[in-house]
This record gives sequence, structure tokens and C-alpha cells, in this order.
Amino acid sequence: MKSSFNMKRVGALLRYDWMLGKNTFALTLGIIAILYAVIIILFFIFKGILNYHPDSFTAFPGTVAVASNTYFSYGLYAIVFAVTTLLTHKFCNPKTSTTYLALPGSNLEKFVVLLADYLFGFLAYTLVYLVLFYITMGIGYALYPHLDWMQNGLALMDPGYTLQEIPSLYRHEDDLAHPLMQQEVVLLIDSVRYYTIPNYISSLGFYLICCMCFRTNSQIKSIGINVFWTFAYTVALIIMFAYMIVPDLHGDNYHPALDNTMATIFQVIRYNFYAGVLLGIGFYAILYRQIARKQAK
Amino acid sequence: MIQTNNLTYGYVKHQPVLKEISLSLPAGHIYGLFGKNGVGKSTFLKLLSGTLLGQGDYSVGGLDPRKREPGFQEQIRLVPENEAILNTSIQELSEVISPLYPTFSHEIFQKAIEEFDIPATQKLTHLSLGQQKKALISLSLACNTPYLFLDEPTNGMDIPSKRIFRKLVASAFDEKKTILISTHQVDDLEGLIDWVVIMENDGIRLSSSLEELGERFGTEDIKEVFCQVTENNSNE
Repeated sequence: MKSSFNMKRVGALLRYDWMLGKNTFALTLGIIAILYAVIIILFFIFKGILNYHPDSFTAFPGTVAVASNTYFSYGLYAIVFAVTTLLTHKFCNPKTSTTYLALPGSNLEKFVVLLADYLFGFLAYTLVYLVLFYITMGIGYALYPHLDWMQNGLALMDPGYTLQEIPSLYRHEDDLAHPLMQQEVVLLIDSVRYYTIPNYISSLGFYLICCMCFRTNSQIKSIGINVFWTFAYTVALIIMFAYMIVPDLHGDNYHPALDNTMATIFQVIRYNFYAGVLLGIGFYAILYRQIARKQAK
Repeated sequence: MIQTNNLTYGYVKHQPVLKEISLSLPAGHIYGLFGKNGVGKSTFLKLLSGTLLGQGDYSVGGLDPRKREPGFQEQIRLVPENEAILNTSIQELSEVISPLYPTFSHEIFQKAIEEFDIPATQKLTHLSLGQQKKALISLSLACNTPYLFLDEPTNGMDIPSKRIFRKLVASAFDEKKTILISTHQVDDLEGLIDWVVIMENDGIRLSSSLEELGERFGTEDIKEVFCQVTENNSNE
């Protein structure tokens, strides 16, 4: 479908969006910043406490780190999702959608504006995440300077590892000595690269499709579905970690069947990344078509 | 020129609110769109503005509203009955909106704001219902578009404001423009409209200039004509 594109109009529409969303954005950014700070401080305290008993919990600190990695990425994604959808709520709200649809702007221009809103939301929250992460990491380091912060369980979630490498990483955790900063950067990059972006992109696309399907409270319903999904994922992770930890409480005694299970899980995570990208592309293709078909309520 | 040919629309499948509406409204008039509750007056305006997508052939200014081309959207301005009240001032809103409408007139905006006596820098959410309505109408008049659709514009307005509204709409009007006003309150449009369109559940019951009304019904009193037309319809 042929659609005109004028940067001046895109700029005006973005300004309109900013005018509508700036207060909500600033308020939620503040709340999220506080939440992040609390969560990350708890993470470091937890990690510090666990390291007081290294003999009893040989595998546990690494596991906590892995869980935290997932927790961070999912937390980030869920929060960014919730807030950025507020920015584009005009598109789904029955009253604002009537006004917005009538504003001069081609479907392509409005699509680009939606994407720009999401990108802006994503960058803003990633920045908050980064700043708070390093501040609280400093606090954690100051609280427990005597601990072996070189211990690395964080890189284990990197789907780049091969099937053969992953079980061996679990068995020889102590060999993975990296500088603290480096491992935390790996955590952050992996979180964002492998989990957040595809989930975020596909979830936002999913949310907008919910807008088309539900006549009321589409935002709440789509967030509800996402929260349910995240909850289910968390339960699955808890079961997975429990399965992994119990046989390992007294030493290095992984069973080959467990190795295979873990390898399978990591493989699933790896494909989850590709699936997220594909889903995202699919959702946005639908979204572009839906903008043209969107109607006031 | 607004032209509809068998325009049909329903919010629910197989239950059309508007059924095969055929109508021709030439430019250069202020139209009063009347009808009972639920006959589809607001839906009709939304269809013409392109925010709803109907079936059949219809055009506004020779352009298909369903395509939602910027060239079309720059020519129309819709003020819905329940327009979203944004958390901003009408002054700020006008600054953001004005680049989207090439015909936007800051003079008309200032004049309307002054006439209505609206605090332009106060947030819309802090204004009364009547003031919000007046602010949004001022903004829409300032867009100065060839097509202006107003849905129940006088709801919540006090009597002096209704008089100012009529004056402002009349002064913003010229022969190249088409203004379509949907309302239940016939008195509010007295002396303003020059064409009457009456809608019923089964379609357009009447589309006539005020002069023709006199010849046809022996009166130019819109209330009287409305009663006659709708009663005839219920008797049929």
C-alpha cells in the first residue's frame, strides 16, 4: 500500500505524543527507579549472605545469579512494556483514538511514531537500569568486600554456549574467573540482547493486537496475559533450578540425564530468542495493517 | 461536497446502525443534523471523518475518508461529543496541533478564546465541562478546515456561550466551507444553519434547505418540521 511520509508531520505527531505522555512517563520512571534500586540492593545482600556458607551451597550463588539475570531481564521487559504502552495508550483508548485517527498523518507516519515511542521508552528505561545497576553494584561491593566476587555464574545463561560446553561450565564453575565489572556487563548485555528485546518487541506488538481485539481495558488485559506468562515462566524456572540444585548440594555429582536436561533448557532459551524476533516481526507486520483498519470506538 | 451512496455501517455484524444512506451535501452550507437518540448521527460524522470505516461509496471533498490520506485529514476537523480531555492547556495543544493543519489560523484561535473567555494556559482537566467544550471548539474553528464536523457542540454550554458559539461559527464560515452540526438541541442552532438533515433508523428522512422547508411544510420552524417528519415515520 502506497503511503506518504513527511518528517515534519512525524515530528508534530511525536510532539503531540510527548505532550500527552510526559507526566505519566516521568512519574512511572521515578517509581521504577526506586523499584530497581530496592531489587538490586536485595540481590547483592542476598548474594553476600549466601557466600558466608560456601561449603553448603556450592552451586547456589551461581544459581541465584542465573535467576537474577532472568529476573532482571523479565522485570525490565515487563516494566518497560507496561509504561511504554501508556505512551501509546492514545491509540487504544476509545476517546483519544477518535481524535488521534482523525489527525493528519499517513498510516506509515503513525506507525513510525508508534515505533519511535517504543524505542524512546526502551532507551529511557535501559538507561535507568544501567545507572542504578552500577550504583547498587558499588554498594554491594562495599558491603561485602571480603567475598569472592570473581565467582561467575552469570555467563551461564548466555545462549551462545554450545550443548557440550554448558554442563562443563556447571561442573567447573571456579575456572570461570572474570573481573567483576566484566561479568556484570555480560549479565546486562545478555539480559538485554537475548531476552528483553525480543520479548519487549513481541509483547508490544501483542499488546497492540489486543487493542484491536478487546473493546475495553485492552491494556490491562494484555498486561494480564503477559504477567501470567511471566509467572508461568518463573514457576518453570524454579522447578528447573530445584531439579538442578538438589543433587549438587554435596559436590560435583551431576548425572548425565541432568546435563541433557539443562542442555535442552538452554537450547530452548536460545531458540526463544529467535522465536521472539520472528514473533516481533510478525506482530509488527500485523500492526501496520491494523493501523489502516483501526476504527474509533 | 459530501456524497454518500448506500453508506452502511454497524458496530456489530448484521446489525447496521446506518443502512444504505444516500445523501448529497454541497459545499457552502451550515448543516444541522437532527435525529432521535441512537439513529447514528455520531456514527455518520465519524464515518465522514474517516475514524470509522463504512461500506458503500462515500466521499468528502472528492476523497475517500477510508484511505485516511493526510491530504484528506488536513481538510477535515471532527469534534466528537465525548472528546478526550487531555492533561494540557488549550494554548499548548494549539501549538502542537497547528503544524498539522496548513490552514490553521492563530487569529481565529485567539479571537475564539477571548470571546469564550477561556483561561488558555490552564490545563483542560482543570476546566469545567462547558469550558472544555468551548476550548476544543475554539481549537477546531482555528484549524480553519474546509470541512468541520461538530457532534453535540453545545452540550454543557451556558446560554451566553451558546450565543457566542453561533456567532463564532457564523464568522468562521465562508462559501468554500461545509459545517455539519449534529445536535438534539434545535434551539441552539437557530439562525445559524441554512440546511436541515433529519435522520431516522431507516435512513435520511429529510434533506432540505430552510427555504424549501417553508414551501414544503408551511413553516421554517425546525422543531415543528422535525415532529412532523418523525411522526409521519412512526405512523407509516
